[in-house]
Amino acid sequence: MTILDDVSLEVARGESVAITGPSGSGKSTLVALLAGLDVPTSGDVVLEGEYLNRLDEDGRAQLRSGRVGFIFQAFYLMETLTAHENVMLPLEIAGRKDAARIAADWLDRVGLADRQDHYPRQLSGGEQQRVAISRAFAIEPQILFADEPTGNLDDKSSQHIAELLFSLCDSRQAALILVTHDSELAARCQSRIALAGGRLVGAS
Amino acid sequence: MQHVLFQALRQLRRDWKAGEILALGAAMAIAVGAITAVVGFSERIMSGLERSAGEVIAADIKLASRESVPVAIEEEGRRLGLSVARTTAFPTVLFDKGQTLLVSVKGVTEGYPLRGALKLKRSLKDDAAEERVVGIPAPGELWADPRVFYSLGARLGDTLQLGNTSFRLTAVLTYEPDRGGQFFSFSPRLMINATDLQATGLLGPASRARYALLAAGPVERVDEFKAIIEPALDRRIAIVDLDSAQEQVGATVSTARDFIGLSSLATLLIAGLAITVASRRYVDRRRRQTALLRTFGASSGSVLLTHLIALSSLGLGWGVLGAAGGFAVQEVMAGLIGSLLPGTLPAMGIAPAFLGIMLGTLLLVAFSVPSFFTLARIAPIEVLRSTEKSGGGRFFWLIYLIPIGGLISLMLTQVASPLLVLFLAGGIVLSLIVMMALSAGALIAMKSLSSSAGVSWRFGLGRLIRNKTASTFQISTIGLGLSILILLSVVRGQLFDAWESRTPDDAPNFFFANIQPTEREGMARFFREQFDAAPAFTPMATGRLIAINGAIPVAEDYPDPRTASRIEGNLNFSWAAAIPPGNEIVAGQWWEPGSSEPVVSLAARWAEPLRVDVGDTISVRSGAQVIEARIINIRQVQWESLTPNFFVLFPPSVLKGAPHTYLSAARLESENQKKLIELNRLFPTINIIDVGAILAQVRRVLDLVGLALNLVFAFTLAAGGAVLFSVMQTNQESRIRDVAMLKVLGCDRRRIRTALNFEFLTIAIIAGALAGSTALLTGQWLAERVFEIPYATNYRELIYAFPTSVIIVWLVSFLGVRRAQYAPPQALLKDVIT
Repeated sequence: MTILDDVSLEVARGESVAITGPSGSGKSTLVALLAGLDVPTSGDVVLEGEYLNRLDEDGRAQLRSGRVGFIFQAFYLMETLTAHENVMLPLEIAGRKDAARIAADWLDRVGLADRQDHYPRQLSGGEQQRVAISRAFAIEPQILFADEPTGNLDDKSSQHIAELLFSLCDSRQAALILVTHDSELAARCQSRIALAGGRLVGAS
Repeated sequence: MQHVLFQALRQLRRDWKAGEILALGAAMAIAVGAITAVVGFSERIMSGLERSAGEVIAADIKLASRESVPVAIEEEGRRLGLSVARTTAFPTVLFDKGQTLLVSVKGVTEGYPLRGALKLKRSLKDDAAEERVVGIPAPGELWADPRVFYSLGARLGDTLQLGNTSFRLTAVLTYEPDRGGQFFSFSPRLMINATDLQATGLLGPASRARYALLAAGPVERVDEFKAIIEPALDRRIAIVDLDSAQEQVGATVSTARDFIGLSSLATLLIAGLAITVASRRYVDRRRRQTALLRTFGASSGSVLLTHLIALSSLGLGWGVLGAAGGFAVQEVMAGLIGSLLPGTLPAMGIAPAFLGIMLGTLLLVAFSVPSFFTLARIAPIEVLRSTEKSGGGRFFWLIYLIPIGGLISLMLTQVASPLLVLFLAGGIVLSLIVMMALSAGALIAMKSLSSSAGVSWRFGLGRLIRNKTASTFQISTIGLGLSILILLSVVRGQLFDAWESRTPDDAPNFFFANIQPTEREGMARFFREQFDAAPAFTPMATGRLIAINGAIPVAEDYPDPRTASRIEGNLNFSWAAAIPPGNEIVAGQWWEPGSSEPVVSLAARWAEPLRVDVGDTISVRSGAQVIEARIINIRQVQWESLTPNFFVLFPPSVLKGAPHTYLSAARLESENQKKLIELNRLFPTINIIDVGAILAQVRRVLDLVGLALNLVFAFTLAAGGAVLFSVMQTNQESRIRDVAMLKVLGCDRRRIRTALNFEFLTIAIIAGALAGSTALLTGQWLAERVFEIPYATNYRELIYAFPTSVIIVWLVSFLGVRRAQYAPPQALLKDVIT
């Protein structure tokens, strides 16, 4: 089954791109390929001059480490780690000695200073997503992938998360690749590409 | 109701397709397979063994007496459908051609022997073929032991005069199944038809005849027969059955039966553990779906019913599969050991398979019910938010009485002693609690490590510490399963060692009894010259027990007929300077060398029913001498050793003047056995007893028992594997998701592996340590109290057991997440979500 076919795009540092399209159009698969979470059967994905599809699993992981941030619709926090430990995780993987301090700073910045020692189950959806954002930004990524980051949240939380996302990307000059159904959110990106049936059907 | 049924079956189909119920089903199938194979196989083996061991008394049950056993008892046996036969044996002296020979005449009725077969030779030539015969001597015919021919120079076809009647010698009697029963009063056998007995005129009041009624049939009929006749039985009639007939074989078979019972119990228990764990996982994965059903208006009752129907159908399906597997395994085993047993093994009935499926389903339901009740209590709100799992109320723990009750009732079906069941059940629950407490303690102690540890350690430890209840349960379940396996394996090894040491390859196959002190030197010379061996002579004297602590013992005070007969009958005793081999002091101490103090050493088996202990006194009369001796020690005797052993032993100087004879034993290979004819000529009154057949039988029993034990143990191991599989599956999804997320965040495989290893090794090491120490603490109790074998703590085995356990747990766990290490993160995340 061909999920994506003849899709070509280039994203520059600091640029924000929205990927839109109906369910099943291949949005999430595209993001997974761009981030090296999966490899294409044909074609190339180049990140910072490195061909992701020519690296092995560990090579791709190493490339992501310290450079790529993720935010998922389902948060994917580690249930066995506290909020603080969750944010520390990518910093530790990248070998940062000051992981604990940076993680605490980030949780403070997203308004969760007093929830640091809580486990994900003890947090609301919005709070969990804020922990996920802290986790994504703590490593100061050059590129941030966000797959329906507000999909599971109410309006108020969604707005809050969107604000946080764009302002942080701006201030860090990080590229943002955002998968969304939300046209308002998509409109805030510098460029938009639309997918349908695995093909690129529009770009602006 | 109908929709509940459909819902249940639909759910089952979905689960089946999704491979969801593999762990639960595997645990169930193993339990059923184990019950079917073990019950079926042990029934077949035991009846085969009993039949084989029954040869020793030529029946399943024997009533022995100094007078003819009443006809009413014989009729009772026939009424129950048992085969019945009678034997009458007495000593007499044969005169022929100027020679005399002390012989033992045995008159038998049609049907004898009921178990085993007589073997005859139709020629005296050495190479004449031996044939198993069905039937007994015809009236007027005489079958005789080869020694009768050699001693008297008789030939086949000759006529021999026995009392008032002449008999024609028609066959050489080479084997008589119940010959070994009375070792030390054994003379060459003459066998005649019972209808000729009266005519000989030898059965007078002073004939010293021993009468026996033999009966055989299906086990339950024999048991019924015994139960009916026993209460009203004349004290002068002794019941001899498998357990009492042959201490050697009986003890081994009953120990084996205990071990098999205990192992199948352990298999059930471990399978129960696997089911508990697997059903918890099953339930955890059903919470959302159940909450959804509740929002649609399903009552908690219908939720429970749906799951119970699905569960019972699952039980039935996997149960049938397990029963078929169990049946196949025991068929293969039966095929393998068929050659070891005389005759063919009885076929396995369908009953064990039914029993297996029934008990398995009971096990499945009893062990799953607690988990399923939590499903019934799920609130619809869970569909909206994942709440912390609720405990289910203050008295919810009471629900665990169901599996405990189920376990106890299952135990009672496998082990006869309720006290043992109580100890085991209590021990298991206690071990589980202690293990949970210890593993929780270990995890808490490790918590302080996690804050200062690196990402891999934090990840591994975090998983364990955060899910502390689940982790301690996981560790304790593995620990308990492992400890049972280690325990059984250690005890099994010790059982084999104990049996092996009791029947070594050089165990004597000939006994020599009734050696007069004047013959001792001559016999020793004969042995030196002919066999180049120096035989050991054990003195044996006969007396009577006349007082216990100064009072005359009354047989009526002792309900056990064997004990009563010890009081009324003759007492054989001996003396020794040092503890005889195969004896172990269990209370008191051995006497100083050269001691002439009036003390006595008793075998536990003799002292216990007489209710005497160290410090008490017994008085024994032998000839004109009466001695009152203080009991100085109690011995445990290895009766299986087939060496001369005595219940009562004195220091050598205490009863020196008592009239006595000697016993001796030797290992003689077949080329030397012919020289015994010469020995018999030189010393015609010495009784030569061939125990080679009995020895071979003991060996055969041991071989069979060993096979049965290994089979049962294999099932226990399989159940252990099911536990491990279920336990390690418990947190698999969250583990895989975490691995995927670590990859997303840029963690390489090496660090992921370290993290997983850290988690698995922590589980394995704590569980292995708990299992090893539990086995160490309880092994001795199990060996000494339950199996009555000497137990030497085998640290080497335990030292091996620990790393083996750790490696197995680690390996199984690690293989479970192998795919997660190599698959791309996106695929893993998808798998976990959908």
